[in-house]
Amino acid sequence: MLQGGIAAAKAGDKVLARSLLLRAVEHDSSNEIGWLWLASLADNPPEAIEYLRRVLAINPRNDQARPSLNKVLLRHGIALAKEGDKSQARALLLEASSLNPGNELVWLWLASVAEKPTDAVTWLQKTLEINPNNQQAISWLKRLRSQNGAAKPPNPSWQCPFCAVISQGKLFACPGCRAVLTLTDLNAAIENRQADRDILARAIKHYQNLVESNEEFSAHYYLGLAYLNLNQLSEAIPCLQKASQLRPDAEILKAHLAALEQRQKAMREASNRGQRRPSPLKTVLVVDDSATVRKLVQVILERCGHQVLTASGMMEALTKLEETDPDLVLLDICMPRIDGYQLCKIIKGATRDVPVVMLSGKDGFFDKVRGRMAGAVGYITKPFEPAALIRAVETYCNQNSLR
Amino acid sequence: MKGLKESIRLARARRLAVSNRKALPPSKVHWDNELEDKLIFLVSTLEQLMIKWLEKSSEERASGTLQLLAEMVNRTLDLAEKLPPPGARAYFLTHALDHAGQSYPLVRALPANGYHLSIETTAGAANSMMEWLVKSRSSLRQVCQGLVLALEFCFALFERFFYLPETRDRWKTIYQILILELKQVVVVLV
Repeated sequence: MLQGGIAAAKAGDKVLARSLLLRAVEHDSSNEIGWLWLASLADNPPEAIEYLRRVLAINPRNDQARPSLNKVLLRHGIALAKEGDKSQARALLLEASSLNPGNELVWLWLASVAEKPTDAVTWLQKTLEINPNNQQAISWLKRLRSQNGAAKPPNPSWQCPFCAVISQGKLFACPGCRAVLTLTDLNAAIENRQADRDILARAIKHYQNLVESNEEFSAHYYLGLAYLNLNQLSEAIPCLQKASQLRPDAEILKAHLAALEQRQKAMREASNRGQRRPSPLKTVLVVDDSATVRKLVQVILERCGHQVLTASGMMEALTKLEETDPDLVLLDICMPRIDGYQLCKIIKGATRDVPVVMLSGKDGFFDKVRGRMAGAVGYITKPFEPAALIRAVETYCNQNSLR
Repeated sequence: MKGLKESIRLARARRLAVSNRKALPPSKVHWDNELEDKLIFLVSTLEQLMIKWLEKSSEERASGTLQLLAEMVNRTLDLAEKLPPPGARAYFLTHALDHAGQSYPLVRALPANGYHLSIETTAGAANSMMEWLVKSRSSLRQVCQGLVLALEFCFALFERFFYLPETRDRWKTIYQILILELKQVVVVLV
């Protein structure tokens, strides 16, 4: 497997090579060459670091792994430092410095992520021991000594706090995740429909963990901003309030926060006056021969508070229609014994004017026309997204109640 | 009477859900909702794949069962890849095949490229194995049952990503129904 993996790697088939090499090291975890080849095929720096560490744990004198690990640690450490993940960057850069203490760059970057000014001074001095003419270290050390505090090196680029896309300077909205990155236009943030919800959800998780472990202004601020982009005002406000408490001198933030609170208050009042009354709960009958579809529809609609009745065929459907008074019938087209069009006609003929919506994997024009001709008011195509199903159910139920 | 009981059950479930949700930070509730939506769409898609396969002729069905199940596993792995940490797809695949391999050892022989099952009917590395499987019905059935088990294992892994017990339970009931349907179909047709 090892030889096969190496051959595949040389042939450029990365996926096959990784698969074979992973099996080889799984079989023999002390296989130094296997780990080294895996490191060369790694998809990301943390993975490469992990594999190279394994090589050095097996053979600390491996002269291929040592410089490679040093290089990856340095690069990834610098990347993390730029992202603002100081503690992780520091750990990686310290490991890199132990592998190659003669590299001035590693000490300079370590200084930039130092926890205390004294550490920064020590690491800048190390830089100057290696290269006494390093102008950046000289000027920074001078500044540190004069200010007697930690100064940060200038960072020319700016990184999105949600998706880490780099840009030259802070932007109004991120070109990567499309999140609005400022509070200057509250409407743009709250009504942002273009932001990548997955990225924002991940960012929220990340900043949630950060605020649990330490009280950092930026973590609370970005958490609030992420919530705003998801239109979750009630979650955003407490985060921004916390950020404002941590930085009481941030007057602009205070002003934006006041505007947000006012907006929330207005929304609550409107809601109390009944202007935003939620739609009343509905009873929906789902007729489908597939138990999976019945369960899916049931879960989706019950989650919104609607009551769901299910039937797997014609007889059961007609019995349920007699026993109950559903607001809507969701009817599958392809069923054994009788198809959905025929059953729709029977339902329409036998009962009061209950709206029927066809539910089908067929989305052709003629299928929809046949559904209409049978008396269906709408058509939902399978596979369906929960939001689309909920929207359709509420639309058709409301249409019926307006008649 | 039945309707009343159903209403009481729903009201209880709703009250419990509300109290559970209040105990969790909103971000975690949001995460659960998003993941559940994605999984529902996935199951709906897999169900449609199954239905379209059932509409085929019996000859096409016999040879295509393996591809269908592999496609289902691969689509599930695609969703796994969107979950943190990176590389979840490879983790899901390796462990699912290992798990299924314990009951159906032939599953281990399926061509997997580390991220996907690569079962093709066209000429290629997997061709001879496919031909052999199609000829040997008992082996084909074993591999198909193994793949259903692998799929079930992947679904079960998703459970770990939910924070709310009620969402986890709901997801369990959903995928168990699909798996049951798939098992019945494999037993009858392969």
